[in-house]
Amino acid sequence: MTGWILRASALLALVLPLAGPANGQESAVEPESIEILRKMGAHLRTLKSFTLTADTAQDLMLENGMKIQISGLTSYSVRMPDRLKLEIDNDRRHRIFYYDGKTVTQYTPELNYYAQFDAPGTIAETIDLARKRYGVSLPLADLFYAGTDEKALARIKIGFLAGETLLDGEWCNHFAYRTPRVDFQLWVRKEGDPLPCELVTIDRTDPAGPRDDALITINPDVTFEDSVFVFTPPPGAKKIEFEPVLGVN
Amino acid sequence: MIRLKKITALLSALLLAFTTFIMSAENADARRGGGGHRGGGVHLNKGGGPKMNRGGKANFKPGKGRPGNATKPARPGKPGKPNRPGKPGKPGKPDRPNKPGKPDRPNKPGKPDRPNKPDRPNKPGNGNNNNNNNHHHHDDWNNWHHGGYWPGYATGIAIGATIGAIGTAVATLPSNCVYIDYGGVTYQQCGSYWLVPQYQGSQVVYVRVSPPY
Repeated sequence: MTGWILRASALLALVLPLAGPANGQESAVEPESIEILRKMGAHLRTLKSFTLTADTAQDLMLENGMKIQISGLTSYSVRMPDRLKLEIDNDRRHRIFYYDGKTVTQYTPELNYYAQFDAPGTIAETIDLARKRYGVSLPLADLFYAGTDEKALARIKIGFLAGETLLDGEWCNHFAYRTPRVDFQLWVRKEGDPLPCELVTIDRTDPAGPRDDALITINPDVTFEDSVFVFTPPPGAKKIEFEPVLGVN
Repeated sequence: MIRLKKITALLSALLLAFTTFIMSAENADARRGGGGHRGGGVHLNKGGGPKMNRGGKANFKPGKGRPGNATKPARPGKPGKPNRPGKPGKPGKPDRPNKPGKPDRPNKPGKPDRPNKPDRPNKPGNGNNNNNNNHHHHDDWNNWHHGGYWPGYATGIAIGATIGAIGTAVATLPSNCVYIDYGGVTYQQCGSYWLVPQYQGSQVVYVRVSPPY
């Protein structure tokens, strides 16, 4: 009696791992999971004039240890190489970020405050400057850099295809990744162009594992008027300053 | 004969194990609810003015349902996938009930620790909240590319719960403040304190300064 139970479980132990990486604690990086990052990034970098909208949910940690969800929408209008408008509107914060090729403006509609800095000539440089010098980081911009930084790819210790999901009417491959500080999951269109469908990140440096989730829709071919990217101060708008990040000139 | 019995038993055990596995896989599928996640397939372009998005989220993405997602019918078997659910017009889940909008979102009476919105406009009675009873795990968006989330940055200006020394800042103002434009600078004068709004990253803070006159 016990004989076959043992044998059956031994067989099961052989069979179950074939069924998927569900228990794959230490599984390595599947090449396909890296390849898709390169492909998606490369494709996104071919887009010339597009919108990206994301329906977002972000965990906010309370001092008492509770996590609560901050919901919002993030909307980009982008025309390469030097026009960008970003609106972030969530439960906590509403910002509009304009880059018209010369100047960056960050505007807060509810307070009617805006601040500006002189911008470099490209979106990539502007994103970099905004982050490093003014502490303003643009959500989801990472997607566009995917595959460009070998160091970032090398930080991925686990990467695999976890399945597929129907999102917004499209089948998307679901990849899961582990890096030292962040676990992330990326859904990428299974058919057609490798556009991102969803990105989930989990902060591993916080034991509570707060997560950000963005359901992404990209409209790859949109024409914009120049004026979309130009900030015109509304009546009564007050100009304020950015505090430069310490130690950066 | 005994041998045969053993084999039969072994086979049925395997069969049972497989059935269990398949069933749980199906359950997992059902739970994940891929079909309904963003459901409806209708995805109007939001293109407009500042207020376009708030409050109405659930309206222009019918069927979107982050939480739950419980109703998706089990996915059809993998190989061949004959029955992939039709793309458009998925029966969007009723899921997230339409919230009529911002006003009734945050305020559930009696919650002591409700995080306030530091730079939404002060609502009556909301002027004195400070932002120090909670923190975001990061200021902006989780980010894998730079080796982790954006780790914050130092500006050298400390944010306190109440107005402190000159050169320190608060995230929200007391209720007794008035705007003063003087010498091309926007001040907030709060009693005897003078503060200047600034962006610290994408957060608005108010830095205490010496009185300009």
